[in-house]
Amino acid sequence: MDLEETLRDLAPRLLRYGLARSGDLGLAEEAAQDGLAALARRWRRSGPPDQAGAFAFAVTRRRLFRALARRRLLAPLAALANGHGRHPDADPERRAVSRADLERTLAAIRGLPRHEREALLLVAVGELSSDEAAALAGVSRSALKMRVLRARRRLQAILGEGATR
Amino acid sequence: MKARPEDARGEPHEAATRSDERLNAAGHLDQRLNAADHLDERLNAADHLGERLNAALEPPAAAVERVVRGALEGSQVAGRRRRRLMAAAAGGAAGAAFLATALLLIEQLRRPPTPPAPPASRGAIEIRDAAGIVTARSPSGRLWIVGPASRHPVAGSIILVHRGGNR
Repeated sequence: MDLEETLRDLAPRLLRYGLARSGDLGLAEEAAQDGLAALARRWRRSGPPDQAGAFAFAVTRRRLFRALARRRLLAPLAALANGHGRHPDADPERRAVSRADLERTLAAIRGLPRHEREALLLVAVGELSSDEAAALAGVSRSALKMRVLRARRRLQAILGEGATR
Repeated sequence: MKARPEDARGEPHEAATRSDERLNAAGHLDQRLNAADHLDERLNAADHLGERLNAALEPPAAAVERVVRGALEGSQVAGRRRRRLMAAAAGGAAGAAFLATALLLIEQLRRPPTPPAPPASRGAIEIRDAAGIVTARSPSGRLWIVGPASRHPVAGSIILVHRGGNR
């Protein structure tokens, strides 16, 4: 698989992950692009890394974390500048993906505990292997699987479809 | 508590039992984790949660294309920018080194040559017997009175000269 193919395979996964984490497609795009650009630089400089997906996800996760922290910090200023009560769907890109199902899913994901949400997003949305996701989350494979299992159950309950248990 | 002989005899057996229990517990834990794995897989197959999440979060194709293009071009631009920066830094360092060398050379040429110290007086201590008093004078001009001169020369007399002290 060459560089461009790898980027094309990773881009939607990173975007979904970023969107689920932040609820903002613009932010998800920025973070995903940073992650993929870092991967491309590394690829050109010293060949493909052993786990290209994990590499791009690690960079994207870091960018998202910083961007979200910055946003939380600046939220009061942004509210003052934009006026209170402005709906986030004012952004046209945001509006394009703002479907009822997306809103519902994002709300359900936001309702999960942080560690479980992260584990579920890395595995179910980012499509990383358990080993890669465990390495990224800094836990054992078994612990990650337990988190995913719990997150899955909680999400089912939040979405009101716990029939599979 | 003192160990009794029967305790000592029983220790290996008890230790083996405890070890077996731990192994059993680890085996149970493995079984439970495996069961969790299977349950996870079964749940995944049954509820298609990953597929549903992916469908709900599916980004627009235009956004995917933008991200891929941006990453490919951004990495090239960043690489070029880094190479340019490195070349500029190397050039700057070479220029600074050249300038420093030139300044040192000019400074050396402008400075008048220092006359070399007379080799005979360099580091020599002048010892004199003036009216029965032996004195020692250092090259810097300090004068020490060593003591009265002996009337008869004594073979093997030693004068100790301390250098570098404050005396």
